[in-house]
Amino acid sequence: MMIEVEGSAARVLPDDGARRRPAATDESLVQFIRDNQGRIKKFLQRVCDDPGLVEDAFQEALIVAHAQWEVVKDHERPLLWVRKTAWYKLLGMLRSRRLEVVGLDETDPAPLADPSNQWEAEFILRQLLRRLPTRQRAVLALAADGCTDEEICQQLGLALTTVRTYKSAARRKLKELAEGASYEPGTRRRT
Amino acid sequence: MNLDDLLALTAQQIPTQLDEARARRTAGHIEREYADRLAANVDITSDVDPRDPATMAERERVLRSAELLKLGTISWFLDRPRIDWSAEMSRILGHAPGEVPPSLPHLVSMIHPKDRAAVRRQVRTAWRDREEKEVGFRVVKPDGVTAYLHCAIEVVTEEGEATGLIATGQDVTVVEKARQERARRVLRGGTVQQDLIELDPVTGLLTRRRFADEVGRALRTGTGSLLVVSTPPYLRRSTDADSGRDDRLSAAAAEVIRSVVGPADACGVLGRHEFGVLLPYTTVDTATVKADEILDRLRATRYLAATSRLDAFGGLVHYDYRMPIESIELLFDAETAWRQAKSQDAPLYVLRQPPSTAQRREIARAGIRAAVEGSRFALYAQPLRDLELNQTTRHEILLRVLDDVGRPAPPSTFLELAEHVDEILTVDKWVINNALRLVGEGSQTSHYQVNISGRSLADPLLIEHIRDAVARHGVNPERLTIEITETAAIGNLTIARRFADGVRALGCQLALDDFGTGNTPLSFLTQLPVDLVKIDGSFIQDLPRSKALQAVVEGLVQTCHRLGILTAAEYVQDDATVDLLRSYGVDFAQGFHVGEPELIVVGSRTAPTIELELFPAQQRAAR
Repeated sequence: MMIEVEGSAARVLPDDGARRRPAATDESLVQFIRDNQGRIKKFLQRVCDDPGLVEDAFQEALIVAHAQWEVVKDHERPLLWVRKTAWYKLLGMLRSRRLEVVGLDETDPAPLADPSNQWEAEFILRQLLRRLPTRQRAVLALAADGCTDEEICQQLGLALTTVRTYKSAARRKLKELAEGASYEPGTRRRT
Repeated sequence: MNLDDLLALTAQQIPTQLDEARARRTAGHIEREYADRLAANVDITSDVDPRDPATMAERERVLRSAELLKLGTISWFLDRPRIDWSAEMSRILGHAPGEVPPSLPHLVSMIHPKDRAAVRRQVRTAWRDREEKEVGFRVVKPDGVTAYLHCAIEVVTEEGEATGLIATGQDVTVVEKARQERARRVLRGGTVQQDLIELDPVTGLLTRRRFADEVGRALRTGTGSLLVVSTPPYLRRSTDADSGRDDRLSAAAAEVIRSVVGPADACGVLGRHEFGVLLPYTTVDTATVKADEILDRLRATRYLAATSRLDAFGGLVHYDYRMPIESIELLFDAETAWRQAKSQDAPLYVLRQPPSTAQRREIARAGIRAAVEGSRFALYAQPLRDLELNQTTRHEILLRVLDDVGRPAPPSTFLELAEHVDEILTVDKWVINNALRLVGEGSQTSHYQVNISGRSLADPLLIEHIRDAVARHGVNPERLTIEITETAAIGNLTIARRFADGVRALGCQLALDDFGTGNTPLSFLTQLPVDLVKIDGSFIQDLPRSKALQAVVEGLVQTCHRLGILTAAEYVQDDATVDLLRSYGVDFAQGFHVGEPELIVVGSRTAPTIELELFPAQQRAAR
């Protein structure tokens, strides 16, 4: 077998019982939270429309980060790992309520014009994200945070080719939306 | 708009005042949560991998993340001799992990045969284009259970070179079944009739059938009164029949009745110039006041039609839910009552309680026998077009009952009553005698269909009667089809089967009329030696506009053809319907679009009207 099923993550830490003792929060974790909580939350918000789920996934990811901080703090970029964990937690939550969310609400496309500032860009991005399947949505949300394709595939556990495929799918969808909107009267740029 | 520009714009960090305090609060919160979970012994790290994702090889990372997400994987790499699947995938496929060594032939054999091509196509396209592809398919597990799987097929690369494929998937049977159920509900919502209310197109009142339903409901729920009003126009004994004027008068009369009754009480059209008003929860006295008001208004109103006044007679019957009485009987009582009023030349006749069953039966039977003896019938022949040859090859012989002024009317009400009081055999015998006489007198170039009620089949002598008539009038039995109407009335299948065999022994053919409505079971198609099925007109009328009806008719025709049964469609109203019927392989079409019924014989127009027959005593006394 290629996958080591029993190779649980916990094994990485010495199993001497010490890790079960709650430690005072490492100052470097507080610094990490201070610097990155905005980006992690923004990623979750872009991927999921339910603020409750976003908050839960965020908390869970940080609790796990707290538990694993000894290892994770030495990562080249701990943000990638924490955000990845948040993504898994969110997927797990989405999956457990899968049957409730399958009914995709197809909202009418809102007028889209070229964005003139960051807030308009964010608005358009949310419009676009809402029309993408979950995993494509995650790829695009990370790209919107400035991640490279390599960083995206590392965080989402996808192949590099898949990340590229999803980005071109998103590109097509955006074009579709922009073209669909440009035929609508009264969709001139607001500026 | 360019995606990269959009992403560059959104990637700028929006300056937020992230203060240290907020981070500390969060840190404090998660610390407490973590402590709580430790105390509760909740495992929080078994589904995460603390390794730095940047240090892992791509294939390992993809497989590991699927594992953490509890998704199954099937993988194939250029540098490995065979495919592999994960423990989770093994479970999804219905094998205990390690039970079956992963192999491509085994995997393919488990995929549903109908889905194999699609899976193969997606895998090839993914590999060829170096692109992620998704595929949904069914697998048949070793125990025969079928499950829906959804897989994402990814191409893994090393330094730009594609080195393998990983399919990540999960069992989506529950989700897929829910999707199918939603789709089915949407389809069903479009194919089921929205409501059962049938309104008469001329007056906007309920049809006779639906009004009878309302009467039946009222009879079960309380006491009240039923009023039946006849509004014959002042006419000379009318040979100048004009259906357009009749319609205008009916609509006007209906409006007058509605204006008095109000919207809550049920009103229906019972026949030509005949209306029913249901007055539930009324005493005889209050109902009488109401009935008088309706009749006064009907008589007082001037109508802008060929005739400016209507005569109006009403029959009012009180009912009680404790009486064992059916809606058809109560309607008959009220109709008898207005005839009584007319015979006495009074506006209203009130029955404080319905007559006994025996009395009613006597009145009804006397009326029907008188109609038969007085030949108050007409026979019409309506052509049936052979849709393959596109020409008329058959005729159905139709009965019409002459109404009070000697005009032919559809016989459904009359026949319903005749069946109800077991007097239908008399009518059927009249039809057989007269129809076969006419057929025998003609050149017999067409094929003729004659109607017999399902109830008459119970008479063991009916088949003898038909045999005699066929022989007496020299009818070619091969050109005769006996159509059984009101198949719901076939009480005893053994007797029906004996009758049917008798018809076939004569050399005649057997048809079922109005198939698909009433209580005609499908089992008749296999239990009775039927040659022809006539699909009920309610399935045909709106055929070009209803996918639901098309589905029913097409399926029914297919069934009949496989059983060697011919099919005919009634109520054909346009070319679109004819084209559809032909495409389904229906053998015959009938209806106004194909050919209207033509009068072939009329009974005595000068027969006395029904009132005279029903109430000869009063009439004589009045003279």
